[in-house]
Amino acid sequence: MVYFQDLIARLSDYWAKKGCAILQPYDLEVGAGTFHPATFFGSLGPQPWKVGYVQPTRRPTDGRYGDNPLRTQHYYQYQVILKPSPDNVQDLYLDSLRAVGLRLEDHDVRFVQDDWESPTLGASGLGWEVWLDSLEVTQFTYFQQMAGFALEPISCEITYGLERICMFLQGRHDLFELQWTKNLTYGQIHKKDEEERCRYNFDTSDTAMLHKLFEMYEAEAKRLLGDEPSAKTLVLPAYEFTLKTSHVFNMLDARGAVSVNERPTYIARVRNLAKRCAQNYLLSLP
Amino acid sequence: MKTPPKALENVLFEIGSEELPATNLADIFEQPDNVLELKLKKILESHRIQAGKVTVWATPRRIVAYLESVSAVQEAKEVMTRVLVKEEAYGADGKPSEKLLTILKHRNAALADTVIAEANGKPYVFIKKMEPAQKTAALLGEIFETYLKTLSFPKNMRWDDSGLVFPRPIRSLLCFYGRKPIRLKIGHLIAKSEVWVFSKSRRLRFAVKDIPAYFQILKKNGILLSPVERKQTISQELDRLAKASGARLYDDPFLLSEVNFLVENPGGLSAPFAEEFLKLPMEVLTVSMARKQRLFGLVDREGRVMARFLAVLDGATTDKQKKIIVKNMEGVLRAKLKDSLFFYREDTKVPLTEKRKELASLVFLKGAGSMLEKSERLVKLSETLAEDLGLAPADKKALLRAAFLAKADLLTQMVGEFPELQGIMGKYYSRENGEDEAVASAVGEQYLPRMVSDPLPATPAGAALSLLDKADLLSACFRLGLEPTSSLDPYGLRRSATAILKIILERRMPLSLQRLFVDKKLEDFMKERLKALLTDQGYREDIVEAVLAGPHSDRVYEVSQRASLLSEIAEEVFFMQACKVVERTVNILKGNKEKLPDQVNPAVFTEDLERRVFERYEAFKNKVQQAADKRDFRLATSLYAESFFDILSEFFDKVFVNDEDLNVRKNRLALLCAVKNLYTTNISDLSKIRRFQ
Repeated sequence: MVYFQDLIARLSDYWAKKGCAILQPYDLEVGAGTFHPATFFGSLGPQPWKVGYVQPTRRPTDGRYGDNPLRTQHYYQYQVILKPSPDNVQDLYLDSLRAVGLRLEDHDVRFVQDDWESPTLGASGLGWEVWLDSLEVTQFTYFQQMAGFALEPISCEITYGLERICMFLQGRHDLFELQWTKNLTYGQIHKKDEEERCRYNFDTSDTAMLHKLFEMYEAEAKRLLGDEPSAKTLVLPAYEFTLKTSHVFNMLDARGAVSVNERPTYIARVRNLAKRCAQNYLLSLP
Repeated sequence: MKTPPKALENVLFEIGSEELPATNLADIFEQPDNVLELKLKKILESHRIQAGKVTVWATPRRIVAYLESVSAVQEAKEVMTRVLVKEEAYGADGKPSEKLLTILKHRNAALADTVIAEANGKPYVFIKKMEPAQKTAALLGEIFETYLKTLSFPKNMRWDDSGLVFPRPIRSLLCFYGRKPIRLKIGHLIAKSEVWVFSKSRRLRFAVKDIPAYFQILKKNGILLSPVERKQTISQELDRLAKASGARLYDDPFLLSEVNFLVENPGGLSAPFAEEFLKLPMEVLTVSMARKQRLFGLVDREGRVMARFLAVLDGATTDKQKKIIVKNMEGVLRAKLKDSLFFYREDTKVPLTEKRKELASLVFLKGAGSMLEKSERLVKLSETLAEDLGLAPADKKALLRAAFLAKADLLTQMVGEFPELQGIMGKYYSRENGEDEAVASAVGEQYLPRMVSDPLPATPAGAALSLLDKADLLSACFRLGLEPTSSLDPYGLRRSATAILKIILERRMPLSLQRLFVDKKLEDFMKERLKALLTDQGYREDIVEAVLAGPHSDRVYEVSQRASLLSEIAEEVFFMQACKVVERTVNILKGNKEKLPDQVNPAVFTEDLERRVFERYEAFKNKVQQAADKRDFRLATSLYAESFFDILSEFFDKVFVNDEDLNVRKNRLALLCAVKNLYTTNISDLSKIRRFQ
């Protein structure tokens, strides 16, 4: 059996052999591997860039109190960035699925259009959800814009949903039943914190505090970025505070504390910070 | 350069791409005119190349143009270039001037190439040359590059540094001119004599020797190039699987057209799912299956959804593989439906009356307030409409309550997840909240008909609410200057207008457009739609125009009644005669600029015929009017024709209407006007009838 940890090891091994630097997860709460600086900053600018990494991902509104076999507020993505995107990138991807142990001939593989967009990052691209027997297992995107900047060269982002792919490898239909190792299940590791976080995110969190945090994080990011575009600012710390505002916004959203009207305003505030981070970063490039 | 005439050849061009957006392709191929073909024909035309037949097919992975019987060379084209005024070009002795010879030399032309022709009323010397006719094979590169670059899709992307854009990356090109491969180059791509086929997610390359070999390779690999044929195949397979379960397919035309562009080599499968999910509303089940997994639902003979799904697969699949796929799909389905159950539970925790308050934060249309304001407007409008329609007290009560609750479901999680379930969820949640069934139904019917094939609302309150919802949208859009243009109708106003009219007609509502809309422009827009709707229903366009130019033209149901009554007699001789009477009087009145007297004065008559026409008018006026009031248009029209057709023919032959004496003339015109009005103000304006003229 391919254990959950084997899947990660096999993907890392595969992409390392294809010339990727295998990085480690980013140590802040993020909603997707795209937020990792290796993707956000890596896709900007002209330099070639090939990386792969696992990214634990937080999406508070997707929580189901551990009650849904496919949806959780915390899960793992495996993220690959290839810049520039190679001509055979689709084949590289399909080969990676074979490399982790999937017999693709036994499945219905489909590339279903997806006009991907991250409104908080001001990022967009075209690509697909890759479906295996009608389940989305990967987001496959040719980035066109990051933080509002048109990209050149184009990066290809491959984001694997690790739990879902592992379900196919292990023949399970509930992610909590996955074997992480021979003796340990995914549920043993994550079920309790899934339930606790859902209760916190949906029912218990202090929205007044979260509102305050949003303001504080935003103010600090702004302070770091300065008033004018500049090559000399502390871009990475500013970006970290941007990520914090994004997560706090997601937490508020999970509590239903953001009205439909306010939503776009909050998102625009985060995006504005991200955009200024990207701008200062580009200015700082040699 | 002379090219001997060559045999016609076929041309093939394939754009091999990564999976193209299915909905974009579906949009293109569901149109009666395939824009991909039209564009190519236009480009061929501008290159002066004749083709017997141009066909463009598409699958998710290729767009293929096939040109049959293509001419070997461009059509010749004569080019005339004006060079010099004749008097400067030739001397009095008729010899060419120095100036002309210099110009010709510069232009690389001989005297023999010149002709004299007129321009701006003066004779000029022109150089007449035949533009060299290039060989088609040499032009294909340019033609297909232009074609590829002008194919328009809603969203394009870049994937390399060539500057080329397309909806998804292009990975191969192939082009044949007859048996000759054309190595055209577009961006970084060079056409090769090979085709890629996906088989079980593996890319197989086949060398292509010629055009028939190309078609053969695709056929051998089960690929159906033609979207029409592929859709038919899928449809038949789904029907077969449905029948095998004693069921029929849950109708979803959008899903079928999309799936058609998700597969090249379609196959189907059918499998059961857990009965426990049947407690979800049928619409939730089928929408989740369609949107989340592109699965088709089944309904039994009673129209109830069954615990079974159908899937369309791509590529040949063994029974063993199908078993694995089915098991996985069923597992996914369970997770997705569990999610829907979660939404349903969450949504029913707060009643709609509470949710409704949050509508204040939801924008209806920029500049037209919030959804809460719209919701309040709907309640107010319901009051008036209930009065106008004379709704029964129970229906009025249901309408007011439904209008109050109508928009609240926009804030539920289920509608957030599946926006197309708006209204439908409102119905189910109203029931959960213990609202009356009439209220729930009306809430559920407020968006009907969503598309042309949909039924109209079935309940009186539902019909009224649906009508008001759309009328409010129309009024708001027209007020904000968002009326549709000939090509763009982003708010679906034409569809909304037609829906309103259909509801009025079906329910025979005694409503006038003036009562519904204050805006005159909107009233005219509605009349345009009414004309389109009635002609769609089979009425002659000129008859509808005649009715719309006649009395009561803002009463929608009355207009349709009148159009129907006139249509019944439209083939009769007396109808034609009545038309003639109206037409001739209208024509003569057109020339008049004077103000005519209200009353005809018999004392001013100078001709016997005038008197006789007037006597007729007096004698038949009331009879015609009474018949018209009773809507006996047959009697009214035949009386009218009988009284005036012969005598007016004689009148126009013998009486000179535009008499020199102004009083006599005005009195005559007033008489004719009275005759005309007798018909046009009581029945319809027959001068619009074209068939007999």
